[in-house]
Amino acid sequence: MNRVQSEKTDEEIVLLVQRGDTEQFGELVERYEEKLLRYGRKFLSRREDIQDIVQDIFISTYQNIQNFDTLQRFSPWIYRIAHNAFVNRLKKNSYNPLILVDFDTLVSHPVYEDPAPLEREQKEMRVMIDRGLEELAPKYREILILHYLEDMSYKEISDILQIPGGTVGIRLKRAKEALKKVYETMNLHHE
Amino acid sequence: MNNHEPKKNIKEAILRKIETRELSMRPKLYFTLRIVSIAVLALAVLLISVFILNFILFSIRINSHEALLSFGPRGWSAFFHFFPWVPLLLDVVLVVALSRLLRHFRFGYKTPVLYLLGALIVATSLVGITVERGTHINERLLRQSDERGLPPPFGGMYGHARRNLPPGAGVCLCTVLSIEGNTLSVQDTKSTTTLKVLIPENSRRATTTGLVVGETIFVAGEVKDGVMQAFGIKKAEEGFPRP
Repeated sequence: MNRVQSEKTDEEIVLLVQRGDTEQFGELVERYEEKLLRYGRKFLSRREDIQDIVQDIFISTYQNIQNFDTLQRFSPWIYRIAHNAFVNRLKKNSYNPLILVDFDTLVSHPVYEDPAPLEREQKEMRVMIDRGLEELAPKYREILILHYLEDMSYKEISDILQIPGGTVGIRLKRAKEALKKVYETMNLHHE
Repeated sequence: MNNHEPKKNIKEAILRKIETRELSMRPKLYFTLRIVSIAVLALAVLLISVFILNFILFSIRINSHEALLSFGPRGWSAFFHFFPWVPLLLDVVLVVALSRLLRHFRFGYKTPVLYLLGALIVATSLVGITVERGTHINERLLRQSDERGLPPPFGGMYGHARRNLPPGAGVCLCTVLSIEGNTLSVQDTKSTTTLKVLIPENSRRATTTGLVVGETIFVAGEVKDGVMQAFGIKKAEEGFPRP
């Protein structure tokens, strides 16, 4: 990758791909492959499955790239595709009945975004998430990953999960509480 | 996870697929058509649900069942008994389907589910009421159904819009034949059936006061052995729907 290439934003690269410079898609794959593999590892444990799904995500991204509005941010868009792919795989693997409505999306909640967490707090949360995540419900697991590991804002999470902004706040709060409970139950301590 | 498993070269695999044209982009037109189709489908579902709600209101009006609402608790009970629940259930299903369709749009998923459903119910109801009260579409369709029939599903709907309940069912749009004290003799306007109606003493909702022979009234009550114990009578006013 040359220096000029690396200075281009995701959206500029997408624009080039949309205009026919399909080689540029490789740059997007390079930028997002590791992130999506890491995201997938929080949902699934088999590496081969994750790699296959990540490949499918890039295939789907390429097929649908003309639908992307380059005035928006690319990152939430590709994470939306990834979210659908991993959730579909989870549903396939799970015997849980299909839940049609998430109850926290029924009414509005005040949209209050936490101020940017301190670096130390962010680090602490990342450690906690890494150690206690498997015990959490997927919907709590995912929102913690997006906010603390992928550094997404509430608005971006709202677009990825397609839920109201207020629901992001309330779900994140509940996810943190659930994570703390997991820690208490497992007798874990965080520094 | 086994970290020693060979890592796939996703980038190479994808670029190879693109190069060999095994993988291609969908054209912009595909997405435009898709979003237009969803919007058209949503509009169609909205129009159908408005039409069904308008039909429910018309069905209540044409059968004079709204008069039951002024007959107290027993009137309410009868109103709910005769209410066209099946079209209402269908309408609810359509509104829920519409809310799911709207979630394809940003405003749809950004709005809490209950608020979106509430807004759709209010919008459907307001437009449905306006169509029913402000236009003659139902009367026209009913007339056409009577005269030369209508294609399905309108034929089925308007063919059964008048719910010709027998006088034994407890509600009747009738013509007064005679008044003797607290007893009325009435004839069902939809048939030639006559019925004896007993009016209870000191009832606010069922009284012979002001009634004259030949007048059309809506009467509700409990029928036993061919005699109706009325709990509500309402005069058919100007503009009261006729069968």
